[in-house]
Amino acid sequence: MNNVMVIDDESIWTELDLNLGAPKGNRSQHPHGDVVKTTGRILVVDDEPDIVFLIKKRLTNAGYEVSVAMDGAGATRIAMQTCPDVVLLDIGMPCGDGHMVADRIRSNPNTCFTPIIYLTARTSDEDRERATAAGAFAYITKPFASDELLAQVRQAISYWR
Amino acid sequence: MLELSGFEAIEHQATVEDALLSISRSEPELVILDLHLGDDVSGLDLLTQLRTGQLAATELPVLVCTGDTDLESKRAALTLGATDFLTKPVDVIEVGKRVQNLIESHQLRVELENRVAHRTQDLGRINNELEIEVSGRKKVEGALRQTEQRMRFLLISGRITVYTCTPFPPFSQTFVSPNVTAHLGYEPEEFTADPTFWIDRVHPEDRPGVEAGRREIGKGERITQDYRFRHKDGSYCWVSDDQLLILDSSGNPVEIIGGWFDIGDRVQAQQGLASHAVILETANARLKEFDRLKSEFVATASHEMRTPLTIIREYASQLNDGLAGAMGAEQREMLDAVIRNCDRLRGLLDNLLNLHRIEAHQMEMNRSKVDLTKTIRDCFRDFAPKCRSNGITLKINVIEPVPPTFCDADLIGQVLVNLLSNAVKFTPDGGIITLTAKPVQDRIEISVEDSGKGIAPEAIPKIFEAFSQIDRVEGPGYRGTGLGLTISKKIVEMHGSEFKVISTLGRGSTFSFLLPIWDLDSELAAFVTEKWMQRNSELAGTLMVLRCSTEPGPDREGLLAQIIGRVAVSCPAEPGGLRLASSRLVAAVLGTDASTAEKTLRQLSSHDDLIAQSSIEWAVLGFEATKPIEDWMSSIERSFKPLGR
Repeated sequence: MNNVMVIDDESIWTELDLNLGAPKGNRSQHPHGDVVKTTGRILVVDDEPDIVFLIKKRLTNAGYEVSVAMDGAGATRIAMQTCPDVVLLDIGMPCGDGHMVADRIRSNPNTCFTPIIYLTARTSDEDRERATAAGAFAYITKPFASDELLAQVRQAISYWR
Repeated sequence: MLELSGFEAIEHQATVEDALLSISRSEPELVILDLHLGDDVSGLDLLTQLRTGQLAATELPVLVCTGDTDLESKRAALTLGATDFLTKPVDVIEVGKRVQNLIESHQLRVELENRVAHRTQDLGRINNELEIEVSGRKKVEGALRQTEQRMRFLLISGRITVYTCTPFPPFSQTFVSPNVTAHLGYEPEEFTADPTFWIDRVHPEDRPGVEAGRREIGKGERITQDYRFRHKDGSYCWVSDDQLLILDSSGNPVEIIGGWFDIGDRVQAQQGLASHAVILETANARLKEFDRLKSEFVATASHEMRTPLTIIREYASQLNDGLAGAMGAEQREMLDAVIRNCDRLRGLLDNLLNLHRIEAHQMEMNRSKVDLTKTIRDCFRDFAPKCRSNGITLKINVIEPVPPTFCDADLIGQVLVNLLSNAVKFTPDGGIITLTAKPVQDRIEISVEDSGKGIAPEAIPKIFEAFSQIDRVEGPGYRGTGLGLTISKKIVEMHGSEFKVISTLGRGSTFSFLLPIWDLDSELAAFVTEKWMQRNSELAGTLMVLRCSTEPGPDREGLLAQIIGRVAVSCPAEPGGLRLASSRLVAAVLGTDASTAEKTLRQLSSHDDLIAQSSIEWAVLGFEATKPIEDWMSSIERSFKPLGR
């Protein structure tokens, strides 16, 4: 029950709610070989304190380890230092926007495979295309439903396992 | 005797009748008549006959001879018209001379009479001609008099001042009609007395143009100039000056004839119009700007609302999920309501954004070949549960065969979802909703029919307006934002169609629209104008169109020629006929058959000319499953890259 590997990107698995994102005991293999005991480490990037707080609460409650950054420079630094499993990325930020952060993450060999889920109020085609070009895992617009967010995070984390 | 003198002698005649006959037959120039010719014949009778009978007109000279010495017979003969008289015995020479004289004078007389007759004829003819001429003259005079009357009227009371002037500067007037006083206040004499009178009173700003124009008149002969002229009272009035240059028979300018017409009213009206036009333009520009600002404001505001809305929704959701402690039932209901309404707000924001995009023409359609039956089946699957729970029967009516359509699948999907949501909203328990797709002439008609409350005819146009709610009563199911139909209408219009609404109050409504049937040429045309030209508006490129289909399209050459014209590129039909006019090459792959396309593309990649090309951009049209070809093209050596990415 705890060692189920999902190699499929269909959403039907999460709808069936197999509890794949269960808080304890999922073995996971980081690309670089480290074995970590938590379900995953997530970097949440947003310049709005309230947003950062509530996402952190939601994810922590779901069993993830959450680190945060509130501007582009900080996000890049923390991503390089901690190599998170997933990055939740806002676009509109001071000191470097989300697109810049994504480019930096992609160009660093340590982090270039990290899935990035964009979580933004931006709805324009240009932003979406740029995100896609940077290899976004998902692009979620605000306001979001927490189910969708959690599902995407689960899939992103299990993408490399 | 007579013979000797050279005359023709006439025989003796027995009777008067014989004599007359003989005379008329032989036409002598002279008759010598003896009064006593015989017992039956009287010379006087003959003479009488000659002068009164048929031969009277000839006026034959008659020389009467007689031996009588009595005066009676002489007198009688002369009275009866004898020309001359001889008494026998006659002298030969005398007779000869007399005869000669008589004949000569007769001849002269005849000659004279002829001449007179001729002359009379001539005179008669000349007289006739003169009469004709005179009557003609009379008519002309009559016409002239009439013209003169009209002219006089015009010159005195007409609205055009007629003038003549010299054909060189300062164009002094030689004649000005009397009505100038009524128009410009001056007397005609003031113009003709002073050579620069006219030019001095042309408005200083208009003077150079007027003078220049007049000098040009030599070449064009007739011109019109509008300028300001100073009225006697000092004010300037607008005058239209029509001029004609008169040349003599050798082509030299003689004078200018012209007319001045007051166009003050016209100028005023024009200025009024012009200033109105300016006012309208300004107002229009301001309105457009307001519209744009409003649109931008809506877009910005709705963007700004997303973050606070996110926080509200997520905290309510977390509370509801017990992340901050357990919630009671009532609290959870309240939070459910909060979350529901946050979703409503989100829907409104999304709709506002959509509408803004469509109106600001930022919405790009991605049209492709779409199988409508699949789209409809998806709709059915999505709406069946809701219909079931509302007791509504949902029917699909697809009239086969439905050819593929050329449209934006996502946008048309949105339209169908919108129509079906409305149908569900307004159809009561036990009702029926039917979703139909059928070919109609050269297009496909899609319609959603419900058995709901219906819409009043006067309300039909209003339901497409933004934020209109067909009714405000809370019905079963999701209450819309009021923008759904507005956006759907725009989407349908973007596809070149419009909504047709048929509705009966209390019975139901049908919403329908048309979509074009897919064909390769339409897709190519749309591709070129919408995608390729948008990205290449400044650069010319070479568009190479590869025909992979095995059937020759009848109009394809025509269509390609049209596209060539529009895109200004060279466009060969076969890969072998490449003309590489510039350094950019775009290949649009057409086809109905994926494997033929692949084959043609392989040929393309090995073409010698293309080796010189450093980059070729391509797009694939006409295939539903485009992925394999795209993958293949990305993998081959020449740097093929997808257009626009």
